[in-house]
Amino acid sequence: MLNNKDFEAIVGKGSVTNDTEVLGEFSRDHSYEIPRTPALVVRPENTEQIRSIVKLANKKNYPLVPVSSGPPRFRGDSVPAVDKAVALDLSGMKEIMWVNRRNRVALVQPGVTFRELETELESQGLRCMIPLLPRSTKSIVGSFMEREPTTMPKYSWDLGDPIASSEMILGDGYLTRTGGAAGPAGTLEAQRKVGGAHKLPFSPMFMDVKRIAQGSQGSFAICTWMALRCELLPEHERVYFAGADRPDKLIEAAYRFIYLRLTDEMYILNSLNFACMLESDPLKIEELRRRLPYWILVLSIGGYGELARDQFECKEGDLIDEASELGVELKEELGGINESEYRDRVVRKVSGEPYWKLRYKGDAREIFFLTSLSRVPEFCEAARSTAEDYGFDPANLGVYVQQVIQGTACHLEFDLYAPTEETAAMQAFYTGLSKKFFEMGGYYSRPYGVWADLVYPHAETFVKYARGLKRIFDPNTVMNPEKLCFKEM
Amino acid sequence: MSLSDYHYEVSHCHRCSYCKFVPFQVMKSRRFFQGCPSIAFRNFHSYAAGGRVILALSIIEGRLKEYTETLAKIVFECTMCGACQVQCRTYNYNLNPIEVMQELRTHLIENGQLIPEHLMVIDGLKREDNVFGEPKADRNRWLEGLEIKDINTEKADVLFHPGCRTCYDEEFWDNARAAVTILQNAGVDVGTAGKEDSCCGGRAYEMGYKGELVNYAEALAGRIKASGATKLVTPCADCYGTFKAYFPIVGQELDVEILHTSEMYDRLIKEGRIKLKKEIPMKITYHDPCKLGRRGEPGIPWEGEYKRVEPHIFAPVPEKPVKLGLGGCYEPPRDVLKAIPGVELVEMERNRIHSWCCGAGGGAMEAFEDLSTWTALERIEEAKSTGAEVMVTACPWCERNFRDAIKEAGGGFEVFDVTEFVREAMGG
Amino acid sequence: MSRKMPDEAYEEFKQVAGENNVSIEPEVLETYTYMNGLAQGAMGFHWNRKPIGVVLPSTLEEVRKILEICTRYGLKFKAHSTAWVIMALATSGNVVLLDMRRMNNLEINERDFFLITESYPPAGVAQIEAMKKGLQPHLVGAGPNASNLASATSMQGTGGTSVRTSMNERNVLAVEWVLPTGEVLKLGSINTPGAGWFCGDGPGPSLRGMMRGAVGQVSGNGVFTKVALKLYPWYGPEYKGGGEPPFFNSEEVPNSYLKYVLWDSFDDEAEGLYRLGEAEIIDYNNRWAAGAFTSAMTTSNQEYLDAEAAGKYKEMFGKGFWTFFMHAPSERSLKHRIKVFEKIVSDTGGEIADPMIFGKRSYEIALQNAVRAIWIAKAAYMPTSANTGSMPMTYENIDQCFKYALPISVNAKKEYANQDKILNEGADNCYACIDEDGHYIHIEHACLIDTWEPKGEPGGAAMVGMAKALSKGMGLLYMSWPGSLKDFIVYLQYSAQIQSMIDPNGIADSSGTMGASYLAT
Repeated sequence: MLNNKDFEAIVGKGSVTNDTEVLGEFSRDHSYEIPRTPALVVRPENTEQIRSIVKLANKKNYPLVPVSSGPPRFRGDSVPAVDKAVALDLSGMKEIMWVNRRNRVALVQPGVTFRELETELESQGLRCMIPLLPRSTKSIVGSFMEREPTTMPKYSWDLGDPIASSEMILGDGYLTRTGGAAGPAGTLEAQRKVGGAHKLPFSPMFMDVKRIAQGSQGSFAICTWMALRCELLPEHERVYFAGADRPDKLIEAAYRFIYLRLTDEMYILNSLNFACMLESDPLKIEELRRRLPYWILVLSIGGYGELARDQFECKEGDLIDEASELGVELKEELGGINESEYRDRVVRKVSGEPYWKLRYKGDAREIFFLTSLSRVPEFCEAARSTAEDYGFDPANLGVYVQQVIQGTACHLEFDLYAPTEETAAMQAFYTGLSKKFFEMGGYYSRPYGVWADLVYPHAETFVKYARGLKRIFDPNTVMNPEKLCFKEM
Repeated sequence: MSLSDYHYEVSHCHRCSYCKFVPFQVMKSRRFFQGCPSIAFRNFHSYAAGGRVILALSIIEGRLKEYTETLAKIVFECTMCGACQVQCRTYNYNLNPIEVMQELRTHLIENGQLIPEHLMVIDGLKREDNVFGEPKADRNRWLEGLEIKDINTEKADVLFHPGCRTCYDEEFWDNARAAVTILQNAGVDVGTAGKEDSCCGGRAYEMGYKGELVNYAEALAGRIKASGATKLVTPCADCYGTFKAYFPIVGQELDVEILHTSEMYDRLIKEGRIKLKKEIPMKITYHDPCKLGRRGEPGIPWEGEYKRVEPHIFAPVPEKPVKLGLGGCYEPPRDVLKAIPGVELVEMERNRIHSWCCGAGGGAMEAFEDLSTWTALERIEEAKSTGAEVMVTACPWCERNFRDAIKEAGGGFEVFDVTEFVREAMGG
Repeated sequence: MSRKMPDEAYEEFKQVAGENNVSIEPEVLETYTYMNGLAQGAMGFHWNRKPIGVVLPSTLEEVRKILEICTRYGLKFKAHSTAWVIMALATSGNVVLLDMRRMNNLEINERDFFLITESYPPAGVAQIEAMKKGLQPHLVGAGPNASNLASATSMQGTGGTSVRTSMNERNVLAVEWVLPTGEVLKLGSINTPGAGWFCGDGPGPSLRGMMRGAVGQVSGNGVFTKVALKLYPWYGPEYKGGGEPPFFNSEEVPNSYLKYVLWDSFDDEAEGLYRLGEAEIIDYNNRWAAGAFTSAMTTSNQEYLDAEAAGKYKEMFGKGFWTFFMHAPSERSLKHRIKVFEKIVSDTGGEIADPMIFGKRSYEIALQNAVRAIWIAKAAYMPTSANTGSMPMTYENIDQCFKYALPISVNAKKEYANQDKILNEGADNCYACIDEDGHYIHIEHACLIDTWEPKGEPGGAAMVGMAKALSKGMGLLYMSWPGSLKDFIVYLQYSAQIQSMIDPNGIADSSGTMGASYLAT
């Protein structure tokens, strides 16, 4: 039996609640995960408290569900899969622990959001990698522990980026640090004393807990801080748009521009997603999308660091030459949205309220996976035809295409917009389309919800060893049980 | 030098594997990145120069005490093409793998570990002065009907040395006769050694029988001295390499200019004494015979030892000459072919000092037919990849091996000698 | 205890790989016993444990079956690819070596910027094919002769182009890995039929984290049969060289810039590197000092001594120097980069020198290092042919390297060099490169040794240098290191649990890599 007092002894009475309304917030999200109410919500404030909670959970077999971001949540990973779970709400851990311009690094706790960090970084001439217009409550740690794609593919060297070092409390309660922060100096201060900056992304010797924990929906460890690799903030920046009725030419351009490492921001949206990001009112969204071409390549170039103006002009010259060669018309204004407005509202920004995916119809479901950028058209066609098969209006499909790992793969996301009351009816389509994509070779690298049931039956050996790792690092299965391939363990 | 004199060299191999590959600076494709036929065929590291160097060290240090058939197979299943020597020296200048491998062969023979097929060759050689064991009396059948001086009876400026392969492989008689005729028509004063003609001893040396080389070198040196010839010309790359590289190593410098027929042609063409008028509209590629090319580089005898000249630095004293194959004969045959109207000469990826072997050398043809044939077919594939219609080379051993391999593989490609092209271009 | 291979096992190996691809002959095994590489230089011995057999598999299925046979007969195994620098030799008795030479396939996915390589293809060979398509793989400093798969899955993997091409731990996409049990573990996207090889993480957690950390296990955890690795832009035409060895002549690379830079102090050096890194303009960088340069420039030990006696290299490069190479997609871009480069070097008190300063040789060495990674390893081995291992190989940031780690190792090395325990080629013979636009750095401080030198002390300088760095709180070998001794032990315990999981029968010859032996490899 859960005992509130166990937790109150660790975090204090005010940080433990079983208030029904609060529990309700952690019981469901905008996914098809079956709602399940946690028994408690606990709000630790520091690493030691988290560690004590994990040790307690091991002792008393309490399931823990770490949650860093505030609502609205979409993936079902923070919805407990078992009864009597304890939601560990880390959103209050908001310290930006260190920003160092010289080494281009920032250390953040799990509750720090992108807006909070960007504000701090900008004052020091830095920027961090950021997902596409994340919701204001989105935790940086939560995003990158889940390998969320970011909008500047040229800085996505590895899918694990931009994490440099990190601190983790493993499922068995052991505290470990990854990357350069692992040691040998025992504290961050001692490391800095000999020049360390927690930048090294590799973990000691033969294993890397960071990689194992990333993408695991909290099944292995809780990240208590992470060091983020940052980049220079542009002094000169311009966004360009290229529109097309078909994606092919824009895909060619994206391949070429990432090859040239020319662009900072770069992704492809369909008109609906573009409009949802820029407008709040459904009617205005509709109006804007009508003014837009169906496919939009958004990119930016920046001048930063030494001779920033010269760099900017050089990139601009190269970009214009290359676009002309590709037969792609670059515009600084599209559908009445000019580039500076776009920068102000989207580039390195978080979403206003309501969150942009909830603006058009009030609710949305996401389907995303990794594939080759060249295969985007065929997946889009499959989405359209499957939508028709299920009676879902393809006009309500938002599309977001984001190159990752410097163009090696792309994150292809379909946003299925619907009013909340229609989402239940849409579930068959959601499942059918997910299955269709899987059958076509879409790779659910982060298999939330039903995707796990598609992916793991084909990955028997992988599952066997992922489970083995889970037994090593979380021997009592206290960490977000029953997610991914860890069901019935 | 004996094998133990190579202790420093063999113990300083880094195992970088450069001996296996065409140097990375000139490598052009994954298909043809291999440089050493032996390791490419057998794949065990043992069959690379690096592996043989380890075996040499093991013998020197007394780890390998028995000389076994397996050891002999590893040591001898190699064409002694010398690619390893070029490749290794780009990276490690303390090791001369081809010298070590030669010494290893000699060492094995001296210790009684023989290759039966090679022994047959040596027996035949001792008996009949040729590597086929054919009657010595038949050696000059190739020149029957040809008017040519016999240096035993009259003086000639050029001593023409046909070599065992030419003398006993009827397929090459026509070429040899053509070569002599071409030279004579160009006004060259040519003679042969007549009944005194014999093997050069090079193949025996590569089989580990150093004494045979010494004997034949002394005999030829004597003949040349007596003849008063100023040039020794041979159509055989194998003999050429032996004269140029091996004779000096065993202390027998020939007091004569040593030339391959292609070098003579080149000289005569440039002097206007050979005129190539007839067009041969053909895309061809040229194969560098190892012993005309990198292993035809003049040998420089070295006697010395590695000494500790400074802490941590050991060096050969006196300084040891560097062998990279640069002194081989590469351009004359190409220049000859390029001088033929209509001929388009295209290069294979591995050419000149980086050339892939034909597979015939080092006693491989005699004892390791699989390696020999495979090596030849690899080269044919490379030749075909250039789009050339035929391959031209300058050694009867290469030609024999290529032609046999092509035949075994079902035909489909032809190999010619430079002489055949010159004769044709001169009007047949 | 070493044993003889059981006859039945030998027969089974032959059935799997073919008669010509299995050997138990002592003479063959002997050639898989000797190594004069980095580890042996450090340890001072060259003859290792003799394997009981060598097998040359050619397919995934053969590898699987070989490991199954090993399990059945209680034999250990270890695999190696090109076997350069750190070779996976047997470190215990009863070991069957898998020489992966026959697994030589290579495929290039030009569209999505990656290659798929089997175990053997040397990186330089992959580079040749990639360059034909305007791409390049990462080449490790060890040279083009090193297998990319091996460095990516099982060893380390940095090099001068790491500033642009990262290092191999981070270049790994999908992986095909035969575990000691014979099971085939797939990492990443190849777990989904028809997806492709573009990703090595997931589904869900990334098991790349149990494949390796900063270093891999040198086959102590199985056999890697195929891996996809990122490719990076190469804006020039394919590299072409000709002429005479060993230095050859390279064709000019269009839109490129190649220079040496010298700074007077470590502080200026660090400042310059920070700024060059974040300017995102460098495509290749390498720090050398006079010793390495002399080694690369000379073709015999005598020539090395003569050059040293002449002193001109030491005079010029006594405090170390950098080679920088840039290749740009356009003239405009190159012009900008040069402007930035010159400004930064000037601002930080650096001096730019033409690589032709010591003639064509020095130019070729610089260019071939930049484009083909040819000469770095030579300089790490010649003129002694052995290297005792390096003092702090540190990957953190530039300040830590130049202001904290390097002074320690320079002093530690001085003590040893002055007593002739190692080659005295100048106390600073550090080579280094910044990685990923300066986000981290790799540094090695070579200590050359001839292990036949009577005064030589293998490993000593490196160990002392590392111990001193460790005592100051800086990492050793490949930098990150668990904090306290307790943490170190716990870390090893986790590693050991993973090892027991993937190798329940204990057939992987992992003794050379796991636990304390790690220090020696």
